[in-house]
Amino acid sequence: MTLPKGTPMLGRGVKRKWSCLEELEAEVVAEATITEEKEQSGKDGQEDEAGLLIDPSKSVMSHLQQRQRVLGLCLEKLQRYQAGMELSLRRSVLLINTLRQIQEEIRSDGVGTCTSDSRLSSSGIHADDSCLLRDDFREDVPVTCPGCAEGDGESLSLSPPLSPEFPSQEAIDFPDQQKSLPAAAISTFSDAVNAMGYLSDLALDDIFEDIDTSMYETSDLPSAWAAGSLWPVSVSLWPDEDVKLRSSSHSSTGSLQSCLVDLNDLDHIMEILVKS
Amino acid sequence: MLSPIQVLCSDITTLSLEPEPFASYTEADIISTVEFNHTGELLATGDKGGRVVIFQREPESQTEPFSQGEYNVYSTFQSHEPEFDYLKSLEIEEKINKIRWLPQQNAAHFLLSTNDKTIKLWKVSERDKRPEGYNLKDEEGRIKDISTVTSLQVPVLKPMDLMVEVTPRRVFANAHTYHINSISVNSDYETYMSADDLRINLWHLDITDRSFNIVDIKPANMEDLTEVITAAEFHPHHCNLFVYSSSKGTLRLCDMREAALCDKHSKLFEEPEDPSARSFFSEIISSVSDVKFSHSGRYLLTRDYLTAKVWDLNMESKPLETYQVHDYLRSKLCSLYENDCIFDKFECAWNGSDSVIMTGAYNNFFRMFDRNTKRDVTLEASRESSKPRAVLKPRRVCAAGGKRRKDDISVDSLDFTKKILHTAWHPNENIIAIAATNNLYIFQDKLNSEMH
Repeated sequence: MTLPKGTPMLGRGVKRKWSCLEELEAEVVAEATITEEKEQSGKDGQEDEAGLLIDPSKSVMSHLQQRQRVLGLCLEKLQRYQAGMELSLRRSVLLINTLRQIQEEIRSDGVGTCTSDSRLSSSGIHADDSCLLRDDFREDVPVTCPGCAEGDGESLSLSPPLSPEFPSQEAIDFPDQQKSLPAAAISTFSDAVNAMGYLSDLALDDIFEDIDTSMYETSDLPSAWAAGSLWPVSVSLWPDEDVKLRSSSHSSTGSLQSCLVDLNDLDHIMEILVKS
Repeated sequence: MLSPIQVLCSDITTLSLEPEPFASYTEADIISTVEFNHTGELLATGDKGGRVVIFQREPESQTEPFSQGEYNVYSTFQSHEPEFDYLKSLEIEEKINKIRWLPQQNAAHFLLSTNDKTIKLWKVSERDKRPEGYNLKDEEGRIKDISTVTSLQVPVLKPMDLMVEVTPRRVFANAHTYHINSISVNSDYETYMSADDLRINLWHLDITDRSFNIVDIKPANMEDLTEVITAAEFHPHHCNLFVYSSSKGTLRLCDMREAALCDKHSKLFEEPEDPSARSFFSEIISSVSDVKFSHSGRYLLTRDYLTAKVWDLNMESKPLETYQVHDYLRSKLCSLYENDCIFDKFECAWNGSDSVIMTGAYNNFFRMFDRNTKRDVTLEASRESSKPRAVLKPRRVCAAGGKRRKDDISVDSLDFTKKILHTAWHPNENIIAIAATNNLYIFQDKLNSEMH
């Protein structure tokens, strides 16, 4: 099939800033390649789009691989922020819905799977804080592994294939990070940029002085991840265009709950990724 | 109707920079909308550069009474300019999203053109006479020396070369926060609606500083947003009825008599999802990209990514007919998702008698389905296969690795950059206009020009 020139494909040699992330990319590329090869070799007219082969055990694996691939593409697309141009709301809504669908599926798959609670408890609290913070001001998204944020790097050398975001998300202070977020492209909407712009004018420190942000002030990668939004999406992905500032009361326990659940999902995904 | 189609191309190179094949064109030349007026005499196209080109059909020649007139350029004008929204630091594209003609009420023609944010009403009028014989100025317009004027004369109107003037009559701005995707003129010829992703506004054609919001699907909390409006249209006869489609594949028929804000639909048209066909892309491919009432007002035609559906207004539970436009893409959805083609929005069209529907596809193919005979045809709009007066040859796409006949195209060889998103059908005759990127093709059924 002829694809337009310059179509970014998953894992086609895009240079990453962080050397450790390059390793992660390589692994993801390998996975994606395997997925593609499997799909192509398996396609003899017997396989449908969901990758169901005659062998049921294989079908589960290729379904998972496709899900991963779609997940990665979803997030990659959401990140792509075209400077100065408003992206289609329809496209973003469809992407988010697909993302949510995958999230639901992962969640339902992960029910009953044991997660590393210790990691949860230590990272959970800080993650919750960042959740509270991010709910209001982040246009969300992808990728962050709070477990990794704890410096637990050795067992989790993989992050979800969402790393493209990081190169643009330098580890800087919180208020500055707000400004660089649009560049990081989680906020695919230019209004997000302006919401950020508005908010960065505020004395954010005053608002959150009761929250311990010492975690976020280093310039290490982990802090960048910690400061990043939690995944899966549990925050607003597009700002209320008619209202620039939303009250912080919106970040209720509901978000907190979803953050905790999200952490569970993340762990589960880690396991899948590590295994495959 | 599906007898061979003859090419009736005129000015095929008008919209491209150079007439040679494979020549490069600028992105501004890409045609973004095509629309016949109510008599079919005029055909308007809008492009990404904000320009509108109007073609006029030449009257039938005396020598060949059975040959139909060709379409030639009538007027070209710049409708919209790129703008910058300073508040949001955003560029507003000048691309013309839709053109809709008003029914003709006097010698002039009126059309509405819209980009993402602003709708404009244009008056297209002809001038073929000019006054001559002024007393105070000479033929070139220079003021005469009064001392040379010895007698007075009455200026007379003399014929001149036809001049087409296009003037903006109304500008309807600042009513849409989101991108306008549709406009539709009401059958009362006084009002029209404009729809963006989340809201639909009702305007009076004479009033530009006020519009009424008639549909608002924006959730109180934007986090809860899961559905957007994709297209909207007024009923052709009932001025109180309109329909709008959503990204979730639903259609809502609304009655403006019921309430000022038509958030509650009168009818909801939705086909239950087939659980066995569920995939990650189910929702995306179910998103309706275009909705058109039939000329009779009895049916609705919708287009989603893989199919075109005809709905009966009296039956909400499922479509009356479903036509597979390019089902061979069903197994390629992941790749199409990757290269973003899955988000392409194809339009659809009825013929004048509502017996045939038409829609575009990839590789510059377009498809026509005869609702009565259930026959369908795939044709290609390309420079190579479309010499004037040539007959278009039906094309066929075969599955990869399947049995292949000569001239068949394999799914893997399809060019996904060549997409036919915009097509239009003459209101009475079998003449179709196909926009293929930067080129406009006009085809006609030579054998049978009257509608069945």
